[in-house]
Amino acid sequence: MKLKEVMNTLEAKIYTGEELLEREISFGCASDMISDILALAKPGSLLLTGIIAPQIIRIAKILDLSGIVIVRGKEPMEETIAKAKEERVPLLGTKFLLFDACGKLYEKGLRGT
Amino acid sequence: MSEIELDLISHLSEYKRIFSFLTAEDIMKKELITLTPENYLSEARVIMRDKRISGIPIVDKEGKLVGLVSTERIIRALEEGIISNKIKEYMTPREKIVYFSPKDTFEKIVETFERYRYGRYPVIDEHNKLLGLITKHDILRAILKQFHSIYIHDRRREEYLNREVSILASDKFIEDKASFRYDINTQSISEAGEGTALLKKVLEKRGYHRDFIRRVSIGTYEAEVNVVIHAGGKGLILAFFEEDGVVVFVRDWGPGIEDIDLAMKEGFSTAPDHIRELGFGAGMGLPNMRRAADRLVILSQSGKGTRVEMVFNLKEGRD
Repeated sequence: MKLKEVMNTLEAKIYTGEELLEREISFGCASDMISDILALAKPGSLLLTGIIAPQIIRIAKILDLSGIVIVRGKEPMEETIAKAKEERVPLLGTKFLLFDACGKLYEKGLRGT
Repeated sequence: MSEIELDLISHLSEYKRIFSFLTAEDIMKKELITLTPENYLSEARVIMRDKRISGIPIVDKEGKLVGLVSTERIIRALEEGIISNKIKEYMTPREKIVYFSPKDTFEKIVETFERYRYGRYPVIDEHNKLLGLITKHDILRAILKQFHSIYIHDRRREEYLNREVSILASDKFIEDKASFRYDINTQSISEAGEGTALLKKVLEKRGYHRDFIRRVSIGTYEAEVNVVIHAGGKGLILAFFEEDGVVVFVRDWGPGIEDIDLAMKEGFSTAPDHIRELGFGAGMGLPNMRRAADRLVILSQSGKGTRVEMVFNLKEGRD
C-alpha cells in the first residue's frame, strides 16, 4: 500500500512529507506507548498513534518507520511538525479513533506482521 | 582457612572494581563478643564452643583492642594444660594483629585476606577502639547483599561461564578510548534520545547492518530516556566498536534503582504521570534493553546511580 492510499483511506490531512506520498508502506503498527512501539514495530512500518510530542519523530528515525499517523483528530505539536520536516518523516493526521483507523487500513490489506 | 575458602577469596579479587564502594565498616560484623585480658582461657573456650565462633577479640576497659584469641590457641592451651590460665599471657598481642581501619577499601580487604591466612581481622578506629570484626563470611554476606542490585542477562551464559571474565566488561574499556561519547545533560524529555540518534548515524556511516543498528539503537534509546526520566538528566553514553560487535555503556549519577527484579518486569513503571502522558512509562524500558542486547548488565544501588552495560554481538547470517 502506498502512503497516498493511507491518506485517502483515513481521510487524513498531511502536515509534512507530501513528496513522499508514493512511498510503499510494508506494515502497520499502533500504540500510544513508546516502549511498546520500540518493542513491536518492524522497520518500514506505518505508525498510528495518539502521541503528539516530538519524541515520536525520533522514534520513527530510530526504528526506520515509513510514516506516522496521529489519530483521534489530535493536532501534533509545532515542534513535532518541525522535527518531522527536518528528519523527512511523513506526518499525517486523521479524525478516526485508533481502533477504526487500524480497521480501515486492515480492510485495505495492510497487516501488522 | 581451607584451600577451598582461600580459592573463594582469590576469586573475589576479580570483582574488586565492582564492589570498590564497599568499605571495612560496610562489611564488618558489629555485634561482637569480647573478653578482657583478665578472663581465663577456659572461658574463651566455652564461648567459642557455645557460640560457634573461631576467635575472640580481647579489649581493655575502654573498649580498646589489646589482643586476640583464636581456636588454634585454645587447642594448644588444652594440649599444654594451661587452659585455666588468664588470657593476657597467651593472646596474640595487639602489635601482631593484622587489622583494618573503617574506611579501608574492598580491594585492600581482599588483598589482605589473600596475603595473610588468618580467619578474622578486627576493625579499629584511630584510637585503637574496636568497632567490628571481618571474617570471610562477612565479606560474602556483604557481597550477596549487593547482588540484589545487579541484574545480568546473557544469551551466551554457558559460553561465558566457562571463561575467565568479570561480571562487568568495563575493566577492559577505558573511557578516553571510547569510539563514541555523548554527555547526557537535559531534563527535557523532548530532547531525550539525541545521543542515540547521533550514535545511530555513526553506526550507519560505518556500514553496520540495518538490523544490528536497530538493536543497538533501541537498547541505547531506552537507557538514555531512563537517565532523563529517572536520573535528573545527567549521564554519559559510551560506545566501543569492537571486531565482534558494539558495547554500549550508559551511566548516571541519579537515585539508582530500588528493586531491579521489579524493574525488569514487563509493565512495571515508576515514571510520573506527566511523563506517561507523553507515551513513556509503559514499563517496557528494561525488558526492551534485554531483548535488544545479547548481554545486559545493570548495576545499581539506591542513592548511588545506575550503570548499564549492553553488549551487542554481530552474528553471521543475522547482522
